[in-house]
Amino acid sequence: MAESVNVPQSKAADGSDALDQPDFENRRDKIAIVDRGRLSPSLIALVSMLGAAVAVMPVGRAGFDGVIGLWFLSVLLLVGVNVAVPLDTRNGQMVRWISTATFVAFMMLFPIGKSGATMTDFGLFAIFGAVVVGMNLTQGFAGQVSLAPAAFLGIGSYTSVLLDMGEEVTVAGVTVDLPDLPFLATIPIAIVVCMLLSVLIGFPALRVRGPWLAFVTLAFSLLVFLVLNNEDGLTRGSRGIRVLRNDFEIFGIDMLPTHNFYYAGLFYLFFSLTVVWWIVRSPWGRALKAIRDNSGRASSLGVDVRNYTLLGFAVGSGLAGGAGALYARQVEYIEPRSYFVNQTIDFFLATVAGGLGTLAGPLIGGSLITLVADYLRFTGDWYRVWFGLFVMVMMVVAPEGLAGSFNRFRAWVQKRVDS
Amino acid sequence: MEQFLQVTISGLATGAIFAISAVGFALLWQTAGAVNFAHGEFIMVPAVLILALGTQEPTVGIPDFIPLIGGANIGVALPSAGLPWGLLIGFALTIPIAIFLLGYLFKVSLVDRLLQPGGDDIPLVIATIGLGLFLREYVHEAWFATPQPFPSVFGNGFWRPGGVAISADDIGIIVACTIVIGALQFFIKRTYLGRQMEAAAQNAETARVLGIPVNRMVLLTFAINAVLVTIAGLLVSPAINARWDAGINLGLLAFTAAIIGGFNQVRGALYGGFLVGVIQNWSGAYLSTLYRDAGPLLLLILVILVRPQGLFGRAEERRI
Amino acid sequence: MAATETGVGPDPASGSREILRLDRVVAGYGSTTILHETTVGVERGKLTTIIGPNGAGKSTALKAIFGMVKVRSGRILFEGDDVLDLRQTELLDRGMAFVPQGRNIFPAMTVRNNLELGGVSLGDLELCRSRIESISFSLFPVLKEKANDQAGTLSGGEQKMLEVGRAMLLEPRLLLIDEPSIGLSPILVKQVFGLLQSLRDTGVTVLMIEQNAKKALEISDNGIVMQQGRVALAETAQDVLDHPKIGHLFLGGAVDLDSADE
Ligand SMILES: Nc1ncnc2c1ncn2[C@@H]1O[C@H](COP(=O)(O)OP(=O)(O)OP(=O)(O)O)[C@@H](O)[C@H]1O
Ligand SMILES: [Mg+2]
Repeated sequence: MAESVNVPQSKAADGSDALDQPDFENRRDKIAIVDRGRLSPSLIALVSMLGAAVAVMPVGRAGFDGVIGLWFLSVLLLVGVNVAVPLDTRNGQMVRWISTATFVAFMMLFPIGKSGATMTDFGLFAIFGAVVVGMNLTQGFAGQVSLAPAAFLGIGSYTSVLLDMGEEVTVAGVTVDLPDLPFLATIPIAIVVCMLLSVLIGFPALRVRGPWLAFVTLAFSLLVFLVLNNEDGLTRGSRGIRVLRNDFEIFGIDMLPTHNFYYAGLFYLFFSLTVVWWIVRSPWGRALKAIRDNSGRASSLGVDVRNYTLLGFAVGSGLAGGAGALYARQVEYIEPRSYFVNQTIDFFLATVAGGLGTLAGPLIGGSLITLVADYLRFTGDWYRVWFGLFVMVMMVVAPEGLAGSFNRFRAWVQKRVDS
Repeated sequence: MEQFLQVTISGLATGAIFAISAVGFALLWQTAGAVNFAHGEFIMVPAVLILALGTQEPTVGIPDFIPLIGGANIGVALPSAGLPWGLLIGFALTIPIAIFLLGYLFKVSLVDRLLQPGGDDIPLVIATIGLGLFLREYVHEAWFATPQPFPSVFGNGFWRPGGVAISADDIGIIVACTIVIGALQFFIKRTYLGRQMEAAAQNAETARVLGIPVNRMVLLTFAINAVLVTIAGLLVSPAINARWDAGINLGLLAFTAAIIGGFNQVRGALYGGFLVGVIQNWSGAYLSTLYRDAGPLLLLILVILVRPQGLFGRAEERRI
Repeated sequence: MAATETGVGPDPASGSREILRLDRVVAGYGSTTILHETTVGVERGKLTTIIGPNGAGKSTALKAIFGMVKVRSGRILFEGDDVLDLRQTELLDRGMAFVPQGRNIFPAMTVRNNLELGGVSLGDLELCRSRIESISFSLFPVLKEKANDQAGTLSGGEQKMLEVGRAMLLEPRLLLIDEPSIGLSPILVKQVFGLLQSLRDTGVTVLMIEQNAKKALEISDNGIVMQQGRVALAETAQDVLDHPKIGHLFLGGAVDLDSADE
């Protein structure tokens, strides 16, 4: 109890930097994986068998006939193991890797013996899944709402299709001869065009704090729709364009059959997931997280909030653009109405419902608006009413979405198990 | 010249409606910090309710409206001697419903739960986008999918002074909106209660210190907004029909008006609304009818780029 | 020497001499705790000044008293009653008024309209108007001169007068005022301090926060030193001024008094 003048404490009391810095560092630690415990061979064997069962069971069965119950049971068990084994142990890491591999294997093997219609649905799931992955980067990691993914999907579709037809187009009285590029070459062009446009509109919107990006992207969506719908000389307006999958070969494999084309979409989905996974783990991704969690604090740390957020938005929009190129070939017919605000709202639903700021969330969300929505068709469009309600209720009771709720559930279970 | 006058007058009429909608939107944003992405649907729903409650046409009556009421048609059928009584009664019945649903219920069930002071506004943005979807699709599924004709309170008359065709509807709209906004302005600037509301909007912290019941003032704003959107729905629908998907455009143009005008509560949104209406009609007449909405939207992006506080706003008045 | 017991007011024995008491108040923003079991009393009819380094939680303490910050535990007694869960209107009715730090006027409204907003809890605009004449304008004649000007056009000192004149409308028995001298010229600071003294002389208890520690303590009856969310010292103003370690505070440093326990 000496009456000493305490200098270091006074620094902490009036300058906030000293207090904030360690907190930012903590976020980094959470990402680092702690190796703990020993691998249990029997657990790994069990999980591998479950995974193999999940991946192999649907093979060659058009409608899962006979095995659907068993398949769901295996999936549930796999999820159960994921819940029960703590992630920060060697076992937990292994279980996660096996589960990821199971997902990949399932998606790869699934087409065998399936009908064309089923594969169209799954192809759409893969492509829309990629859009949602991109949107999740903008919204879940960069914390900004973009209401333009459908517009970027459309820009990607039209860019890719027009550059692949070799026809002349007329815009505002000027006639231009467009090249006939190979399809694969148009994908990166579509991505770059969308990224550039998103920088152009995101730049002013992100200058000030607040939901300005949402307003600007909504306005942009309507402008894009107007252009697509009205520039007959360029887009053939509301009549749309029939798209042919004729010149499309990858490594000598003809992409014309629906089953083969599905793999193109699936590859793009994996590509998008990898890009986002890489970004999230990079210093940039950590900065994005810091921005989302506390914009004021991040900027006081010298993180250039605006540039990071803008980049997140640009990459998200670029992924939507590339998906647009694939989408055009998947559905083989493009028209402006497919890219209107309702489509954006679907992507938005998927992003929010799946879970913001997670990697699995967009997959869950993407399946919600394609596969699940397809099963709900019998309700007319009533399922969209429930989706709207679902988003509101979710924001109030579980703003972290389905994937986030799963994580919370796992944490809760493990706390129980520990004690 | 005649065409120019004609286009400008109908632009002012559209603009007057945007102005009322934008004022409501800006009031909520300023007073409660609530950014409402369902604002367009908040205009569409009362329009549909007015039609459902006041129509003499059983086709859009209560039976297909809320199954709960049990199929009774409580639509009011009165002799429409001179005045469109059905419409006015529908309007009168809709006001309290709107205040309850779009004012009170919206505030307590979403805004109060999702908007922490000093917190992030994105959760509420997300939830209101969900709310917009819900309202749109609900009307689409439960009521009607095809646009329904909506009569004008001011009739279909026309005057032709000096070759300029002026519709009674346009003039009626301009007069009605001027009265509504004048009354609102009077309430906010000249009455004690209105000044308390404005104080709560401008500086909630200081208002609380002075003992102004801030929460009640915010609720009052929500109620005023509900009345404004109901009026906007009544006035805008004759031109665009009552339709389930009207909200997307209406909402966007209301945001545009509010943002272009600046967040000076009534004044900025008022000018912004007229500007958007006139520009929209000019671009429709002189550029291309197909690009009617493009003018205001481009202006929105331009304003956010060079003057985010709005054309008529002062930087310190924007709270966000 | 230093205070003998943590945060005990000038005379812990006689409760009736105290108009206000904070009892182990814990409060903060979000998940951060700013006030750590702050305990102190304020003597009735006296002018008490709180001093302490930036970020010590002085403003937070006043805000907690006036219900502007959520108090997590502890009690706040005003005239012996626990006032913790009361709304601002009720606190005003009981005779407390608060002039927060910074600019608390509505710059786009006239001075008169600003003053009228201070009387909302009277529930009677006419009564409020007559009190503006008899209280605010007689305290500060300059406000009467500029009654119809926009409040934003007032000088910094006039704005503070407006705030104090508005707070006095309800004839409070306890006036909480946070850094009234901030941004004022030395002459105006003297004026404001003089005003607070004369309010005290008419029987109003004044609890103020001041950065201008030395000057403020010289005109005060009692002084409270806050540090890192705790009351480090509560003595008569003279004793605080004479305290050997307090000198550092005037220079903006922090002091570790023996009474600041963990
Ligand atoms: N609204 C708020 N939200 C979050 N933290 C806050 C808020 N207001 C103050 N703080 C924090 O609480 C701590 C104490 O602040 P407070 O304003 O009570 O200090 P003070 O003693 O009045 O300082 P000063 O002399 O600078 O006015 C500071 O660290 C500050 O960062
Ligand atoms: Mg302070």
